[in-house]
Amino acid sequence: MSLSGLARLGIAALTVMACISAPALADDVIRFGAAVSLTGALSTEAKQMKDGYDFYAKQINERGGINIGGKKYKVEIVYYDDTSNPETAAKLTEKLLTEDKVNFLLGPYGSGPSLTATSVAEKNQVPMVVAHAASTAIYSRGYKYIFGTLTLIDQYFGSILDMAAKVEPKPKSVAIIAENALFPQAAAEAGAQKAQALGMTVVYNEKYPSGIKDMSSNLAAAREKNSDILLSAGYTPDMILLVRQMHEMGLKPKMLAFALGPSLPTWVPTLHEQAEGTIEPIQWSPNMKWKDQIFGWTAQDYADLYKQEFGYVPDYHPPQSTAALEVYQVAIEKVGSLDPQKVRDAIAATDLMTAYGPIRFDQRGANIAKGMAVMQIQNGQQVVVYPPDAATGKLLYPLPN
Amino acid sequence: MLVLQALVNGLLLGGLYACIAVGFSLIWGVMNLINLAHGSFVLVGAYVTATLNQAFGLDPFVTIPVSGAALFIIGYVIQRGLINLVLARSVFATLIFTFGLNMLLVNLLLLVFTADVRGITVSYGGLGWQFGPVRVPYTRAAVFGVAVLLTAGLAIFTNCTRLGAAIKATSFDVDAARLVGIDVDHIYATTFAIGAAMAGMAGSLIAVVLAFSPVTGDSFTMKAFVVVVLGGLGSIPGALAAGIILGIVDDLSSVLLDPGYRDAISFGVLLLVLVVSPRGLFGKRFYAEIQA
Amino acid sequence: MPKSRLEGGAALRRAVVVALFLATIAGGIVLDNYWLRSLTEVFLIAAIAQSINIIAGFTGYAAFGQVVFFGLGNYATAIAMTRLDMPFIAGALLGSVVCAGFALVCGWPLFRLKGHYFAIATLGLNGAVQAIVSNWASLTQGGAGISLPLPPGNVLGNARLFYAAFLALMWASVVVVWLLNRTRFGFACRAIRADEEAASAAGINPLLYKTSAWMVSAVLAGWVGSVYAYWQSYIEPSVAFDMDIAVRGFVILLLGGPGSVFGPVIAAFVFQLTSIVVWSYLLTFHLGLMGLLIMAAVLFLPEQSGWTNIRAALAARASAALPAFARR
Repeated sequence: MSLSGLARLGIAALTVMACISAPALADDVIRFGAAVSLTGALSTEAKQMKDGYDFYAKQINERGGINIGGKKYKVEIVYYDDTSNPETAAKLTEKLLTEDKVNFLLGPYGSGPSLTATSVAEKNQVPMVVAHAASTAIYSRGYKYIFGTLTLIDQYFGSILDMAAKVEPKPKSVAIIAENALFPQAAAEAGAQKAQALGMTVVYNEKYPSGIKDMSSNLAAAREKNSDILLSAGYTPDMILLVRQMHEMGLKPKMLAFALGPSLPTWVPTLHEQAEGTIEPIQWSPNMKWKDQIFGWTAQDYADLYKQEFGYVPDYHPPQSTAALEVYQVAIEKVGSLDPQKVRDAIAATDLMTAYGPIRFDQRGANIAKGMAVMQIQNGQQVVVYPPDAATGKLLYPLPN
Repeated sequence: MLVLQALVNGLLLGGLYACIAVGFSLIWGVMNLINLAHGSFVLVGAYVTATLNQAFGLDPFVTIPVSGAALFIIGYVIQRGLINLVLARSVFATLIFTFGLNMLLVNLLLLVFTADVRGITVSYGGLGWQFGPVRVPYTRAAVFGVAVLLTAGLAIFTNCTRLGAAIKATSFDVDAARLVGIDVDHIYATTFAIGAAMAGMAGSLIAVVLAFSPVTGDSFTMKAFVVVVLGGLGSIPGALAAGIILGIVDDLSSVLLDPGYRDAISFGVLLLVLVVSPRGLFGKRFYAEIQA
Repeated sequence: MPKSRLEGGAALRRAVVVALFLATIAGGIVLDNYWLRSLTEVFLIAAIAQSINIIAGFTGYAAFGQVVFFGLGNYATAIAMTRLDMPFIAGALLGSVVCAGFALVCGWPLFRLKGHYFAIATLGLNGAVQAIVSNWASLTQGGAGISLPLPPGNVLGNARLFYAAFLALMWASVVVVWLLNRTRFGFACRAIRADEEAASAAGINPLLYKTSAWMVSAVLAGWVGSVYAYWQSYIEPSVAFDMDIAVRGFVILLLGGPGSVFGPVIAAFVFQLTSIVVWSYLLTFHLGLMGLLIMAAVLFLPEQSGWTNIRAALAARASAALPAFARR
């Protein structure tokens, strides 16, 4: 193709682009923008995140919308696919603000994309409520416009260890195997510190490189240490590999916990009996004893309504999304305006109970009111085993040989 | 103790690496085509096995011929219909072409199977033999056995059958092959199909021991690269030896050194081999180089 | 000597270049943040493609893993700014030194390899460096990545600043390639690409020129990496050493014409803007569609003479596949 041919093609492409105008803004609508991982490695989880946002939009719009000074405004959410790529998430956040002119932002899925997207929001001084990125790094930069509704990563293994510390006889040693990436390492470090604070010894603490195909040697080494508890964090295929190879290598801890894994829909179908007894901290479960201040739902009500709407039982992702929008609703209705600065200040003062749990932000913007529950796979089902007042079953400890 | 276990683990893993690589090596050696979609072919085989296992409860090892046949057909069609069009172009045009093909395949897999991670756990999954301090899991041993059998089967095929001879002839000298009446287009398509079939069957084995999703294919392609370069292009015994060496290096370095550096060591081995002996351990002269 | 495909329309070419130059300057003033950002990405990948052009298009050594210099630039700058408290420019200069040094040191053993093998070796190099960076946590914070200080100024100001910075890098890369086209240095590189032994016999020291070309391309890619790190405010190994950047650079180089001065720039515009359009409309199939477009581009766009030799092109028409590139 000659240069002029290429140039003509380029001009044509630009012309097409120019014709893609931003959709006309309707009145009486509050627009939220979200970059979500519609494709890419995390798309299954991210779809549930999106469904949770859509669930809120439907519920509030059925009731007329958000109330600003006596007038009801419908909620509209604009989505773009960031493919779990941090740079793309940042770019799309930029696009949502400048092209689509959304009023407020919702965080992407995952810590990598959230780190960059939150920088964009902060620089533009538009609030972003993050519901799906638990890395403490996001909230430690002194940003003023970023808020996270979920419990952060430094609590993940903490909840497990709190539960373990109450077991008789108390476990004494902990082994940690985590992927060499941001989120898993944050979990591992916080877990190691918490273990020590609770009087347990960390006997093995190793990072494995991303994309590993064989963990058997690490697991054999861990077996030599014979710890009571094994904690692991990393990308799902690695976690499945770990469970398999654990059995192959004869590593038999009394408690086996993952930062993320057992709650995923493919965990039990893939691992069958090997999934038995695996533990994960969860942000939410339908039998938590929380009642929503805005809609009046209990956690179970939420789950039932959601299932009716979307056809599947929600894990913690959907209510996490819904809660983020509820935070906005309360803030917007309180100040009676869409001004980013005022709404931001109102969000900072949030003190709200939702079906997802209580929400109150510290000055980092992290939600310090909500703790985590712990779930264990028993007979192929997810059973909540901690805290005691939300438990649906008893912790199986130690794991049978 | 751990070292012994690591050696065994590495050996077993290495057989799998070799099986993944040998189809890649065949295609590259005969057609001078680096197929960047190789990892996706492996995944297709894994998905065939996983689907059959889920739908009919078939043991994954039983499904190996099915994935082999499926990938053979798919490979033949792709080569004849697509790859053949760019075969005459420069090395880098073909690299980019197969890269685009890979993007397409990954997207199709995502659409059909979603990004969910999958794997198969068989009833004998956690069990194995215990030889003193060393454990040998049944699944890994079986995977190793099948991988070696398939690799040996390919070697026998290329050395002892007419079709194999025709393939070798074509790789040595295309014009001469044409002169003696060999249908080169058909040979190229068959070679590619065989390479794809090997990848697919390796994929069935992968489904048993690893978890996979549509985006995990590139790591297999990279592994195949390293094995082929280390073992020498065009050599099947080389691929087997290199796979095993690489598996052992991977596992030993996890145990003896910081496990995080295992990838760096793999790549380091690759670079060392390339610089010191580009033909690899057993490489015959790069096939196409033999032409005058 | 292989001719640039733009020989024919020299006047048209000059007009387009000037028009584009003015348009990009104007764009910096009138466009909004999102478009500024999108075009910034175009300039970035154009500069990377030109970096690859120097070592692959002119000198004939396809450094498939060229992104390693982008990554080194990222990390050198990030470490300089966070641990050594250096200002950005100093960090970027450090990055240049690191990249040039790395190309120098690695060139010596690697330039003994040819064709496929060199390409794979650079791939291995990138993989090895990424693995080391991921694990050397005391220096690089490993897999957790590094957060850089935010650049001063407001959002629009920043957007314009980085637009300008990458624009400057892109035009600088064009100037470098243009100089290469017209100087003895470039002549030597092209001679090496055409026939290294003959060039050597004619008195050109291949290793000297190959290494120098690679060092130049490395510094260019390193600068792109440095500015990128500051722009994103957060880097991690899997993004800094992402092969996707290298592949896109190669595709764009192929589209624009290896050895061409201006082709890669135009190709960068067309390719990136096409993918934006595709993205906006096809949420679940954009990966596949880009794959199809890449395949179509390879199928339907003719290559520069000089990549494949003429005999191969003729042989191809007779449907005998003779991969001339293999004979090294």
